[in-house]
Amino acid sequence: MSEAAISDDWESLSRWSIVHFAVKFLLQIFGNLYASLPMLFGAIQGGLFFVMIAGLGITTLMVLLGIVRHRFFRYRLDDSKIQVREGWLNKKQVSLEYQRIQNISVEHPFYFRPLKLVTLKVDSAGSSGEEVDLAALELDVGNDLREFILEKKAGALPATEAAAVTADPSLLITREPIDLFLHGVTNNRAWVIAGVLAGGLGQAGDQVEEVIAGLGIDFSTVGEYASEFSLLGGILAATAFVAFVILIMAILSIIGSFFSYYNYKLNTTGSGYLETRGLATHREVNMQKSRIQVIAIEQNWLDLIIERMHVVFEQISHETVEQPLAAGNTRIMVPSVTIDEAMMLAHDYDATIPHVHELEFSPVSFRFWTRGVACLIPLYLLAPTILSLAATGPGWIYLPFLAVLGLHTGILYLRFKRWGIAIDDDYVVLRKGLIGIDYVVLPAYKLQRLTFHESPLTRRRGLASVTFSVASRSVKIPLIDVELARKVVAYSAYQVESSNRSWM
Amino acid sequence: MWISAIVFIVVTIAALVLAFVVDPVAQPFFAVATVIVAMIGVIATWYTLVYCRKIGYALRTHDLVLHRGVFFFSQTVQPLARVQHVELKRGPLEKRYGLASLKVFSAGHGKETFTLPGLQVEDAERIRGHVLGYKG
Repeated sequence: MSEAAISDDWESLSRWSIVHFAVKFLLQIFGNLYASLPMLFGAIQGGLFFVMIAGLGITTLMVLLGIVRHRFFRYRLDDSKIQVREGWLNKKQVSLEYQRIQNISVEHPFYFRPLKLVTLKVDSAGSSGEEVDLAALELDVGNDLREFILEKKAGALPATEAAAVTADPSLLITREPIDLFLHGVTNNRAWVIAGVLAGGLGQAGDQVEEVIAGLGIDFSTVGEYASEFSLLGGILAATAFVAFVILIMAILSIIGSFFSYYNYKLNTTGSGYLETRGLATHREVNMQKSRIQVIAIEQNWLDLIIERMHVVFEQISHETVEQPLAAGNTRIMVPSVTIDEAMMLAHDYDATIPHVHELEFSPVSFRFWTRGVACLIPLYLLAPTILSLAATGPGWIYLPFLAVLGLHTGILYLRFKRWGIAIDDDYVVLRKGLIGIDYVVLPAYKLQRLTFHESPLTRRRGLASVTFSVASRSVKIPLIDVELARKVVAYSAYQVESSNRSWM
Repeated sequence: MWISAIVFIVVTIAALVLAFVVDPVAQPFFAVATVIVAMIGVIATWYTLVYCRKIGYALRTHDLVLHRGVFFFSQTVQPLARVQHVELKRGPLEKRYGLASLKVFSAGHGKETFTLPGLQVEDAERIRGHVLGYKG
């Protein structure tokens, strides 16, 4: 431990932290990528000069803000806590006791890599505002500080937990490039971006056409072709375009997967995990086992075909829907594993977790499907009925609506088939999903609250729903037998109330 | 809860008064509208009163249970070992009538698990003491 770090004096960060602050400001502005895309298109339309001026202006502003932030940023570590004092006009002071620290991670952002500098990130189990980023530390200092904090944290904990925090990590699982490739293909988050792009296409149609022309694909010939074969040609052109967009998005997604998960390693330190990953920005995340609230085994529809899934260890989360991008810090996700690897990971957390394939799940009532369909029918028939009445439209206006209705009832049926609940000693396991199968493994003694729901219709059928809430999420299982529901609530509540085990 | 009932009663009365004041022959649309509003007001008042009567809580050794709902019934179990903090709230009307509401929070989301409304202040304080003093 470098003696410099622990002293009564307030330390300031290296000047390189200005880069960190500037990048952080930029990310805050452009972090909401979906919102900024149309803005970007607008800027491109304004011409190259405009883009350069705007870019230069924003960068200068960010650097200035970064300088100010660096100038007023001070931190210090003492025996029991980290303190940070910052801000020029609005002063802010954060004091974070070691025992309340939830995550410690050392990041190697790409812009610090040539300089061998790191950023130490510390999150608390308290509110989301209580986090400390110490940017541009020298590698040794960063690692020393982490060791120091881990030791201090261990000192503040009961002996059994403490021993494990400092134990040497042993490798649990790695991910090879092929796994990351599969993860990129199956978890194509770019679908969302594709939707936004489609919206932005109206604005930037010309540019897109130019780009496509530049790639040697000439849609105008497809168009000419289309005029001769009208409908068929139109469908062909549309299909070709959709296929093209999907291909681009898949490639982007695979690249994204490599950037996030390159050289993925999950180590166990006895009572904690150490996750290292990342290509440009290298991350090391420490997470304590006791903080884990839920183990989720999730599977997309493409995952189902190749029999892969990903495992998520979720911690206490304060992130709500407003900050989906920040959620990465409160969970460890192991991408694209097989069922055996998934169970191996789960068993490392706790060997008594039942194998999800060996459990007998109680299904939800068939009413889940019939009720859903009963709600859908008026929903889908209302619009065409109004249309055909108001505009005396043709009868076939019903067809597309009926087609979507059919599709939706099918989806609902698949959902119905997936829903299930099983209880095994300490664990409540919920099965859900659409095509892929998701398992949510909840340690019953970590439940925060339970809610039992009934409505006039479900009561008459002897059915009820139950919501399970842990500190990281809530899951509601719909329409199970009322006896089962009451039993499940009573059993889970008993587990919580009779267990002395801590939930965090 | 009483507050919303009072609001609904006021709306109902206002609508009824209006209904008598206007000339239904001259303004049939307006007359029909006030009658509809008045009917909704009566139903809402009735619903609110029934809803309030249906709210019940049970403070047990290890948990606090709240059940509520006229048509859509729900019962929430909050184990005392998982309570993060509680908040005792008293609005102006509650102060006037010696009442208090108790909000119970657990970890994981910003909102409270539930609120126990319209407790006698002494009861609210007693429950709070029991919840905070809970050990294993």
